[in-house]
Amino acid sequence: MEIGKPKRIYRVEPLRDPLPSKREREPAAPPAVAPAGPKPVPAR
Amino acid sequence: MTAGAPSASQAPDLAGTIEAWRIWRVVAKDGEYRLCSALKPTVWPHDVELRAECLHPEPAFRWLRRRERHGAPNPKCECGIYAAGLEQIGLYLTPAPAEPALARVLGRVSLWGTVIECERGFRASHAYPASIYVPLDACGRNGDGCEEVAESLEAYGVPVELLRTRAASAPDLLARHV
Repeated sequence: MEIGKPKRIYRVEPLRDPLPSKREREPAAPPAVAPAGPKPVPAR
Repeated sequence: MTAGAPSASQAPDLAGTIEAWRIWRVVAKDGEYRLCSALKPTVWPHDVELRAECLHPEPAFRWLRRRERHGAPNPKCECGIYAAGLEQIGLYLTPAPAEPALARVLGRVSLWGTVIECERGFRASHAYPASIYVPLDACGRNGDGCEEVAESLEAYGVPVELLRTRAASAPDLLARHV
């Protein structure tokens, strides 16, 4: 495939495993927890 | 930004993967269908990522040219795992007459590791398919066997979709819907 001359080099680190088979074995992310404290009162 | 031979020290880091498009041949290996590079005899594994290596042929008189082996991709070579935009890969959808392939499919591929951005595409050190599309005429004019090919390619664990269009129209269709 003709894609032309190099322009820039990147070092790319996956945030999660790009392989589906390995991704399924990753531990699930903990559920988001709402911060403790009083609920905000809507402004009138 | 200028063309030339950039050095790795200038590289910005990216978190995630770069996704681009490519064409694969479908070949039979060990009784199953596998993706194979369109221009090289590299069969893509379905359980690990593909890692690039330089397949550039050794010069006939190696002792005349001391070219050391290098990691791939190398900006001074043409090696690496290729991917590009839809408009670019469309030029390679027509199979060569004597090409040994059961079918010709296209899809998105995740690239990571060392990735060289070129004028019209990318060359990477690591890659794995992200999605696979099987055109209507991937397996011949009448489409016989496409469903079997698509089913077998599900071994890659990524979405495999049968297209209702022929290969020549696939890039336009995918550009509108993906």
